[in-house]
Amino acid sequence: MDKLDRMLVVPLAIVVLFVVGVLTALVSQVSGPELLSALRSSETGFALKLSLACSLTAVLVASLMGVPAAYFLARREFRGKGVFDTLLDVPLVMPPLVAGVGLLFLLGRGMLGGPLGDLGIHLVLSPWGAVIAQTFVATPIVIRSSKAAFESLNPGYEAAALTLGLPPWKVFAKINLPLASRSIASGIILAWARALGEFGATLMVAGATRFRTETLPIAVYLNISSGQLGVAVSCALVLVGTAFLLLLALRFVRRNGHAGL
Amino acid sequence: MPDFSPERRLEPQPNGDRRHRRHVRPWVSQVPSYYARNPDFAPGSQGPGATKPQCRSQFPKKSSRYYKKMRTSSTEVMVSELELIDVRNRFLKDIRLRVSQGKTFVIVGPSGAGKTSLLRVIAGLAPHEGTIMVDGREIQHLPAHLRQIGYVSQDLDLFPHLTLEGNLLIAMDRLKVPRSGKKCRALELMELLRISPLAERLPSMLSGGEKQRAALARVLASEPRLILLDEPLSKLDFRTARYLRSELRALLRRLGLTAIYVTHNMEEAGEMGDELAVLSDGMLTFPGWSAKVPPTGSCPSDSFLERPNIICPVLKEFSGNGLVKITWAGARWYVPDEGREFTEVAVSPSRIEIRAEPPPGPSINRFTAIVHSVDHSDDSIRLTVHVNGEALRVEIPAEQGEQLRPVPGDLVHGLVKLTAFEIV
Repeated sequence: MDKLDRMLVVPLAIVVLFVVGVLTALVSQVSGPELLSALRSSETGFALKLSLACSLTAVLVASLMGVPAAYFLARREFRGKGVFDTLLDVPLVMPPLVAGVGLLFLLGRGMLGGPLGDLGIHLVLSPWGAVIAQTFVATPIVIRSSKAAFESLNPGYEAAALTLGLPPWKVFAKINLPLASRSIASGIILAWARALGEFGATLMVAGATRFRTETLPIAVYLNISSGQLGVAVSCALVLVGTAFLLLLALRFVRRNGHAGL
Repeated sequence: MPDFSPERRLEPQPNGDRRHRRHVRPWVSQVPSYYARNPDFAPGSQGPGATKPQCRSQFPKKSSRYYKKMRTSSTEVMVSELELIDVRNRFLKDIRLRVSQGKTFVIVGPSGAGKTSLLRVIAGLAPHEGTIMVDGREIQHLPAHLRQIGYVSQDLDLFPHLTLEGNLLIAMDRLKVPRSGKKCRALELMELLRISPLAERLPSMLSGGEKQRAALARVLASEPRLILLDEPLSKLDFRTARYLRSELRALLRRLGLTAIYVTHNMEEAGEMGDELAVLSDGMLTFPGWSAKVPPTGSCPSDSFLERPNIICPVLKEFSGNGLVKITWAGARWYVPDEGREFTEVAVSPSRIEIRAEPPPGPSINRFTAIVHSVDHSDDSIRLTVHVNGEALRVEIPAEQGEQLRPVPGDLVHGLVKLTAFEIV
């Protein structure tokens, strides 16, 4: 190890200690038995189930809209595409709380909420609000990674498929989509991780109601504010654990692609 | 040095062979297109007259509607003629072209001349104006996937996520044939091109020559009305390319395919084409002009300096003013018109003039060449010079050689007088 390496190791060690410190601090707040009972509590269970249901629905909707949208954006040139592109990225940089406020107004009585309410659909302050908030933040991530994936495809494959008689939708389904699947999958996983941890926008749109709109981050927030450290920490650890699994999945997806791509 | 010969690479592997037998026996040809018309070319055939259909057992009864439909569709396919009228776009200028049924039309031209562009226009992959007709029907308004024109690009573009067989199966997507029939047909095509042992391989695991065959099998699988081949052999090593060229030629002939073959290689053009045209700067010259392409090997590879240079022109144009314009070594030459057809022109080595400076006078039949070898004898110097890659033997008197002092690698200027040419 030369002098430069020794100098570089210092910041690395600080970063690692930072991460380890945060995790240790989380775990050390509660005793083992307390944590176990909190993990088994109905509140943690509800939060986990609601979080998974909401985030999976959000990611599904985000993928169903984001992948086709990305396919269009990757293939067509039109006036103002740059502005359009940037606009789609706005949710990525928007503070979640601000996004939540915007969604709240959009879905509120004054705008969409009125007509929807007449139809008997109430999105605000319901679990559907959480789904909408998470979809809003997840979609740009899916679009961004899918668009990059489609843009990097060799156009020769599409030309070959077309001349072999495949109609354009089959070229998409059987050639371009499978070829881009790895990058799209990693985008979807990232979007899922983002949706799972989504707090600010969910808080504004869905509110924080115990056993109703209590996703994992909301559960952490509610229980910290009411001093129930056990449930808060167990929910936090479940979140960290899920995120960790998603990271592993991401590594797996990125490593095992088709040969020759 | 590794053995790159195609023969070795295509040796059937034990596993492949076993699999292939297991699959073939119970199946019978469900798609009669090629073999109905070319029975002696069917896989397993021992030659003319020895054909035995292999997949007959699963073939629908002759009376069935399905069979009739398939038969008509497959007999109509494959023998189409193509006509282009005033086709133009950014790279092409009023192209007129007619490719007759079952013929291979070769288009030669330098890089950037618009060859690929022309093929993409015909395939429906590039915008253009003008009329494109297949069998008298206008198709220029049809999108690429409805044109039934097969296109093999320079990069071959085998789908990397599918196996060789998968590549063939997806090409049969539009054919109204049950999946088992498609599998059978895919196997037949792979046998035809001798790649059936590789059916389960991904394209990344194929060699250059195998990829080439795979791309050809795939385009045939889609039952195109005609096929467009864009320098398909340009990425192969010399030996494989040469071997595949004759194989491809035989295949096109025997299947009676209408094809357009694009290349920048004159030798390849001569071997592949029934008809030839030159494309340069987006303009097609001599369209439809039928060249008498010398059969391969008609030009003896002469190793004796005493013998004349034999020139096999790639293109000939009888201008009617006592001159014939020929294309050879990538350049135009004028030879005397003796009022008869010919395939070769001879030039004696001693009648070619070589100078260090460009010779004065009118600028026809001039060339620039690179000295390849120099051989001194008592009263003369014998040179081999390369004109655009074609060898020419030249003999100059010793006293002129004293002035010129040629060494290999020198750039020299040459002139062949009209009277020096002898029509063979």
